[in-house]
Parts: sequence; structure tokens; C-alpha cells
Amino acid sequence: MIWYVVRRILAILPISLGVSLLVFGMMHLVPGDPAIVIVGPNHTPETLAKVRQDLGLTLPLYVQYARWLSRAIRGDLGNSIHLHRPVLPEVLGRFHSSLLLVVSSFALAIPLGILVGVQAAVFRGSTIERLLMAPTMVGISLPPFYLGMLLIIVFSVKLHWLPAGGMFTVTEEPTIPDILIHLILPAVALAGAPFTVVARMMRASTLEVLRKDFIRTAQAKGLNSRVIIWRHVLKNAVIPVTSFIFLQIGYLLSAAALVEVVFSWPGVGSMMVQSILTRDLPLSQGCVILIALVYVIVNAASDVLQLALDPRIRYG
Amino acid sequence: MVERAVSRRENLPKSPIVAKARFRSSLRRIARDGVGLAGATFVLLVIALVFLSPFLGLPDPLAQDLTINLRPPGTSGHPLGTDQYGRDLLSRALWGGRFSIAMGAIASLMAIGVGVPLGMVSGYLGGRLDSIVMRTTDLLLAFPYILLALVIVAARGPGLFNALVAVAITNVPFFVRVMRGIVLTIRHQPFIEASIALGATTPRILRRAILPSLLPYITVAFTTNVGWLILETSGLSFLGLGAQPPLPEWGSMLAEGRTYIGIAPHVVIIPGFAIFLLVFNLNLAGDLLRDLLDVELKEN
Repeated sequence: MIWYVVRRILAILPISLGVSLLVFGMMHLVPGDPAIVIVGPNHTPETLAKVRQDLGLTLPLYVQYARWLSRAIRGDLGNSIHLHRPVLPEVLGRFHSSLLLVVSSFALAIPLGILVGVQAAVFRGSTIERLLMAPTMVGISLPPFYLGMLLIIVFSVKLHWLPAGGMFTVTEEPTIPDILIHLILPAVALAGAPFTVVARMMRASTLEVLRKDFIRTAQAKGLNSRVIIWRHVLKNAVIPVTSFIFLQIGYLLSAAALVEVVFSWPGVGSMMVQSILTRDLPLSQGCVILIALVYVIVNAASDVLQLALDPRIRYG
Repeated sequence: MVERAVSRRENLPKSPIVAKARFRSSLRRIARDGVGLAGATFVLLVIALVFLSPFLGLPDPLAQDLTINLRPPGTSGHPLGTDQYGRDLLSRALWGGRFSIAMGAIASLMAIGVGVPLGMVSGYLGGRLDSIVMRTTDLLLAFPYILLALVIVAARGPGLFNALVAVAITNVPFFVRVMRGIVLTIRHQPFIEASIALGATTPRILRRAILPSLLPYITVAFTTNVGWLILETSGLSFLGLGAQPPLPEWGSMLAEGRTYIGIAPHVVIIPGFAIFLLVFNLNLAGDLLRDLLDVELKEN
């Protein structure tokens, strides 16, 4: 088991190398001369020549990649074209806001999805099931940016309960309650789709477990139905869903871009969209690397966690 | 033992009468699935309406009239109201449907066009090609899919065509994997071995023996995928990375209307609701088709 954990953690390295290849490739997918993209439209011939030499664009591709990678590993992702500052600190400076949003959405969507899925299965065929599952029918077809704008219309424009955007009130010193109030709507908008997926899978998985013999045994020996559901059914029903639960983090990390734009949330996603619109390639690359690496690490962590959760899994 | 084997033989749908009865029962199952049927009907209706929109006598979706901007739904001559430039929202919503349906379908077909042959060849031939294809899809799947689309748009630049290509590429691994898996399960079936024995060439086997077996899967994968891709392309357009204003595309209509959300929320509600309604019904229709083709597959 320990070897599996070690192997899984070591597997991060080749995957990260793949990520770096793709991000390096972005520079060469650019139509035209990458050097012109890097220096931007307002350049002198001298700066252009200097950037060409810095990037080593005349060298063979694998040499260029090796140079780029060795710089990237040391944290040098180049300078942003429009901010004229190193990319890495800029991206990291936005990271905590994105993380706050993603973690809140995750904490909202997963327990709620599990709860709704289990209850829907327990009350199978009743009005309660239909009421519980109705939102999941809708949720899968509702784009997160539209859900976000609907929330703004209802809770900000009509009811004036919650702020429509930003991370804190600009005129005041940011406080935790203020940030939390600004967090509610974007977190709900982002949580919609993962909630739907988890609730549906949990319902199917719970129905499966409810048919098992050991549940009948538990009922036969007169166990309280609450104990049966929350101790025996839930534990067994969650296990097959865990891998999907962690897949949701990948969705949250990237769909955060859409929600961040709707709510003017100062995260990595909205920075990335901005960098694409302004053709700031180094900044885009920085955002991609950060999001992809977090995803790779989360995936490895989820595999290890699954191993800890399910004693039946024995890896060679 | 023997008895059981005999009775099982009798259950096989050999006679045309039994097959017909099975077909009827699957038709009945569809009729019972009222929700799925309603979804499929709605989708067909929307497609008809959207493609007939030039002949419905609606105002030009691009014609601006600032004297009547931001009128609410129910205004005479503009049943769904007007947007910030006084453009008719009903007309724009219908024209937007053209773009969204076309983009979802084209991106899906592009992904199928690359993914299905790759998956077929990779699964049938195996060997080094198979492992190269699989490692490449592994790498692409190591990215969250929206991020991958953003990577491609970041490199190639914003625009309708690049967004289409980006969304299509992110979906290629899905088709490769699904098709490869199915090919692996059928490649040692007698009908394929018979083709090999008859001396058919590999391209011929792929085309004449394997591809027809994949068609039901491709159909279902296509239908369930279109709705998904409509969400993705409209998302890119919403971010300003796909269709550009003033094109009446639902995602970019949402982006344009966002500024007026406080004073005229219908400018945002209408295009968003159009996306939702279409994708919702496409999902219902996709589920229906899946059930239907499952029945047929069992009979094969």
C-alpha cells in the first residue's frame, strides 16, 4: 500500500512534464512570430531582436524547451506584456481568491449532493424524491454564468440582499464577514453543476446499496432505519462516487473562470480570461500552469484518499 | 440443465414475428417515456423554428433603433422586448439558436471526425500506435476540459472558428476512448475473424465490419454531446473568446446584456433561458435515444 502511495505521488512528475510541454507548445501554436506576441505591438527592432535571442527562437525546439523548463522550475515564467511585471507573483497573488471560491463551492455542493442523493433514493417513487431531484434535472442544463446572473437579478437587483460582484466593499477595509457576504452568490453559482452530478450519482449508488443483503440483515435484526441509512448505506454508497467527487474539483477550478467574470471576482480564472483577451501570452501560460498543477496534485491526493477510504482496494 | 438450455434457445428472437413484437414493445416504451418524447419533439420544433426564422417576417436581428431600446417583453411589435440598441430580442434569440445549434453540431462532428477513426484504428491495431494515442489522450485528459479549451484559444486568439476548434479538440479524447473500448470488445468476434479469413484488407474491415457496429454508439454520443458543446461554446462566447458582437449568439448576447442587468434584466434572462431550454430538451432527447438504441443493441 505504501508503495502505491509513493508511486502515485511520483506519477505527478511525468504528468507535470506533460503539462509543461503543452504550455510550452502554446507559444508555438501562436499564429505568426511568437517574439512579436511576447513583446506586444509596441516594440522597437532592438527589443524584438533581444526577445528573439532571450527566447532562443533560432535554436532547435528541444533546446528551447529545456531552457524554458529550467527557467519555469526556478519560478521564472517571464514578464507579463501589459503589467510589465514577472508573471509568477501576479498569478500567485490571485490564487487565494480562486481557492476560497473553489473550496467554498466544493464544501457547499458535495455534502448537499450526498444528502439529497441519499434521501432521494430512500424515498424512491414518492413526491419527496421528485421534489429533491427536480433541481438536478435543471442544474445539468444551466450554464454557471447564467445561474450566476439569475442569482444577481433575484438577490442583488430585486431583493438588495447580497452584493452583485467584487470580493469586498471597495471603499472599506476588507473584513472577513464582508468577504463572506460577497462570496455567497458566486459560490452558489459555481456549486450548481457539481451538486447535480453528485446528487444523481449518489442516488444511483444508494439504490444499489439498498438492494444488498447486509441491509436486509440490518433491517431484520431490528436496527433503527436512521442508523441503517447513515451508518451502513451511506458509507458503502459514497465509495464508488468518491472518484467523481474529486473530478468535480477539476470542473470547479476551470469553470471558476466563468463565474469569476460574472461576479468580478479577482481570481486566477478572470485574470486568465483577461490575459487571453489582451493577448498577454506569458500571463495566460502562468495561469494555465497554476490551475493545471493544482489539478494534477488534487488528482493524486484523491487517489490516495480513496485508498484510505476503501479497505477493499488492494493495489499491487 | 438440458431443459434450461432448450428453453433459452426458444427465447432467442429468431422469427420475424418475435422481432416485430420486440420492436413494438420498444415503441411502446418510448410512448410511455412522455418526458423524453416531449424533449425530442421540442428539439425538433426548435430546429424547425430556428431554421425557418428568416421566413417568419421578423425584424432584422442586427437592425438598431436607439429610440426603442431596452423595451420590456410584451411591447407591440417586439414580443420579447428589445435590447440596449433597440434590436428585436425574439429575432435575435431565434438567430442565436442557429449559431448555437450549428456550433454545437459542428464541434461535435469535428470531434467525431477525428476521434472515431483514431479510436477505431488504435483499438483494432493495438501496439505502439495504440499506446501513443492513449498516452496523448491521457495528457489531454489531465487538463480540466474548460482549461484545455482556454489554452487553445489563448494560443490561437479569440474568435468563432478558434473557439469551435478548441471545443472540438477538448472532446476528441472522449470519442477516442469510447470507440476504442467498444472496438476492443468486438475485434475478436466471429464476423470480424470471418472478414480476416476472407482476406479483407484492414481498411475494409474497419469500414465495413467495425464502423457499422459503432454507429449506434456514435449516434448516442453525438446527441448527448451536442447539448454539452452548446454550453461550452456559449461559455467561450460569453467570455468574449468565441462569437463576437454584434453576432446574435446566445453567449455573447449574455455578455453584451450583462451591463444592463440592473435596469432591464430581460436582456439577460431571454438568451440564457434559450440556452437552458435547448440544452435541457437535448438532454431529454439524448436519454430517450440511448434507451431506444439500447433496446436495438440487445436484439443484435
